[in-house]
Amino acid sequence: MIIKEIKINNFRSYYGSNHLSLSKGLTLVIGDNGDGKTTLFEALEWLFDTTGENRKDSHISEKRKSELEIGESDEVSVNITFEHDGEKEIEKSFTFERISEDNIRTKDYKFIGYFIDGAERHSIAGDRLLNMCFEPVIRKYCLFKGENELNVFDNDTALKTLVDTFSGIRDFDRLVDLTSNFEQSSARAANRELQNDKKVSNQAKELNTQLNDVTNDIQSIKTELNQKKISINEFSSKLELLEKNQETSERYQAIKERIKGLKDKRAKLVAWSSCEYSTNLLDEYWILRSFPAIIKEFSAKVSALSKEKRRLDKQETERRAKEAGEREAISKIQKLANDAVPLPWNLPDEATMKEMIDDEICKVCGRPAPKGSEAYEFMCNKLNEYLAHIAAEANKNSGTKEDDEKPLFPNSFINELHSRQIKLSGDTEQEISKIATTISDRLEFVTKRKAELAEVDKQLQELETEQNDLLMQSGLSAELLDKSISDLRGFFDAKSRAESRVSELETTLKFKESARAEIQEKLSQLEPTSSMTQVYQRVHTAFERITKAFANAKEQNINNFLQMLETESNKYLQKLNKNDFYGIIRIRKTINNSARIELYSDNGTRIENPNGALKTTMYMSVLFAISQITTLKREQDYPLIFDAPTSSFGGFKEDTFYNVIDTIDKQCVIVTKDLLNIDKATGQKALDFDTINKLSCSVYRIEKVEPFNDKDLSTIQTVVTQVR
Amino acid sequence: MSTYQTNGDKILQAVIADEQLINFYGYNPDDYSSISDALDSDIPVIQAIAQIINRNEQKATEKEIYNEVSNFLKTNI
Repeated sequence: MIIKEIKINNFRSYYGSNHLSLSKGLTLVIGDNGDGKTTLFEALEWLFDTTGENRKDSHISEKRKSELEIGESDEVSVNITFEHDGEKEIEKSFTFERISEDNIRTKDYKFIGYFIDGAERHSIAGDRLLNMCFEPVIRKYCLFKGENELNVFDNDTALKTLVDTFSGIRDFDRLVDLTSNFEQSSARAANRELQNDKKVSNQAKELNTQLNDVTNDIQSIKTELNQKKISINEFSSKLELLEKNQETSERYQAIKERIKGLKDKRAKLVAWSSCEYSTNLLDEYWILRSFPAIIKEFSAKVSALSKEKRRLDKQETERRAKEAGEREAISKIQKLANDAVPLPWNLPDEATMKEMIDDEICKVCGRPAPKGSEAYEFMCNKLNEYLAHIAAEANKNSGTKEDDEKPLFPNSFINELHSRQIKLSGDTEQEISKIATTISDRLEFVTKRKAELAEVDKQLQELETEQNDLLMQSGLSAELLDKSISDLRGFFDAKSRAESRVSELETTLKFKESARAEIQEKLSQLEPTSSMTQVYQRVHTAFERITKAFANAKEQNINNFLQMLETESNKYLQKLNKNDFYGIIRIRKTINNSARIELYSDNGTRIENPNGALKTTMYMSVLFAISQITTLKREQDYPLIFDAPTSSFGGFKEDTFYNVIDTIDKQCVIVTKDLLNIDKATGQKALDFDTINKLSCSVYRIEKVEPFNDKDLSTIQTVVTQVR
Repeated sequence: MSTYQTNGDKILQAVIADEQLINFYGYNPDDYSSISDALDSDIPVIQAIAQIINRNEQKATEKEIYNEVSNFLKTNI
């Protein structure tokens, strides 16, 4: 079966119609995470599944589903066209219909095959055609997801299935069991005859009793031996697993220790970097953090005020002195004409003038001055002038005195400010400056610890990722890796005890088998009188030999198959690891009739834990070998389809690997995210055309259509583009 | 020209290639490339082996096969 074309229609992210034409050799399908690689693989898995009707809602393209109006329908289908004694086609499909806003109904499941007979195209049940062209037992060796599924001997029945399928001989087990039963039946028949023979009856009975005893002993020994061997095998597997993972375990422990150390450090850093800002603000006077700047500004302002006050004081003093001088000068220059001496301004005085007015007589000149006369008016005016003068003088005197006594700055605010400035400067300022330094130091400390904390968190995250990756890669549980070192000793002791017991049992078994052979020999040498008894003896001997021949042939058949598989596998291993170390594959049969693929150095040393890439190529070589044996033994070809088989490969190894696979004469589809590089200009992933151009195979790029909503599945659509 | 070999033919060849069996009964395994060849053999053990394989392929029961083969051996060995 060689697949020529794959068509995928509305299968999950493969919205609408998509198709890939496959070459006879390698076809590479390159896509990044989430681009639809596994979906492509699972579409083929769905198509190749012949176990029953399977039309899950989850197979339907969410995008197509979201476009459907109520009552509208469309189809999910996966179809392959292939070459197998002529061109054939298989399609699996079902219809989906929107029946309400929230519900989709699936119906019309179809699995149909088509083949051409003469000029006519006929249809046939899809599972029937598939089983005819691609047997279920071979399909087991066709689809592989990831690196962990590549080991074909990962279950106990794998060897039997493989031998039955690919050695070219089936049903050996049944025939071996059958002949073994015949041998026992013939032995019973022969013994019955011997015990009934008059001549040898007693001897036969005695020998048979001995034979039964020794046979029972042998059976018990074999049972125990088998159990012990199984135990040894289990212990060996566990020890091997633990030894193989010793490096992983040690690395895991180292990572765990580092995580613990970092977590302790983190706890300290968290404590150190926490700061009670609210409490410190008042309790520790952190509120005064800005005091030095404020006191500086305050001092400057107080100085400026003080200076301004002094300036105004001086100006006022000068003004007052000037005014006093002016007043004195005026009084000095005020004198009468002809240098006459003026009378005192208070003569006649107020009382005299009032008396003269009342008496209506001018007592200065002695003339009468009746009311209404000019003289009387004169005296009244004179009195008024006097009173006005008195008032003016009084005002004048009182004003001068106030001016002289009232200071320009009657309050001592500026002085108080100055005193306060002095008080706040000096020791207080220094003390508060210390708080500022403390705060600054503390904040610097906290900032540094926070930076360290961020770094520790980053390291922790990296280590935890590394730890998870390690667990995923090893496929082991954290518990197993935790206790592996102590268990190693326990398993080793238990294995040693079992081996010692096996050795004892094998010695006893040899002895018992020898005893049984001796008894059987004695039985066969008995010469019964009855010729019929002799015949029964001969028949039993013949069955005994036939049984051994079947058992040996079965064993030989397995060994031949393993040898052939080993030889073919090593051819592919050499090819896949061109220019690199690859060792020798040995496929060893285990006690429980399974097999194990192991890698050895040329000098016979077993390579306990080959690196990921070597292990992958080792398992892939066996798969290619199985495919090759199928071609040789069954004249059938089938594709090998791998989903992301090269996760553990480095860039160089990938290039070589694809170059080699490209030259192998096997149809092989590899779905991978290899050969994608980050384009420095755009920051986007782009195909590595340097490597791709060296290949001769078909290359497809699958990718999500942009833009898409990263939270809405119905915006996701994979497109398939043939690159070469 | 290579002839098609059935599963039974292949089993027969594998079984009669047993060295101890050859030593006991002195035959040439190459003389029996198919079940039908072996069923025609003059050597009863070869015939018995062929019968076991053949009757098993024909889905005969264990008892049937044992009775047939042991009776054959009783009369021919």
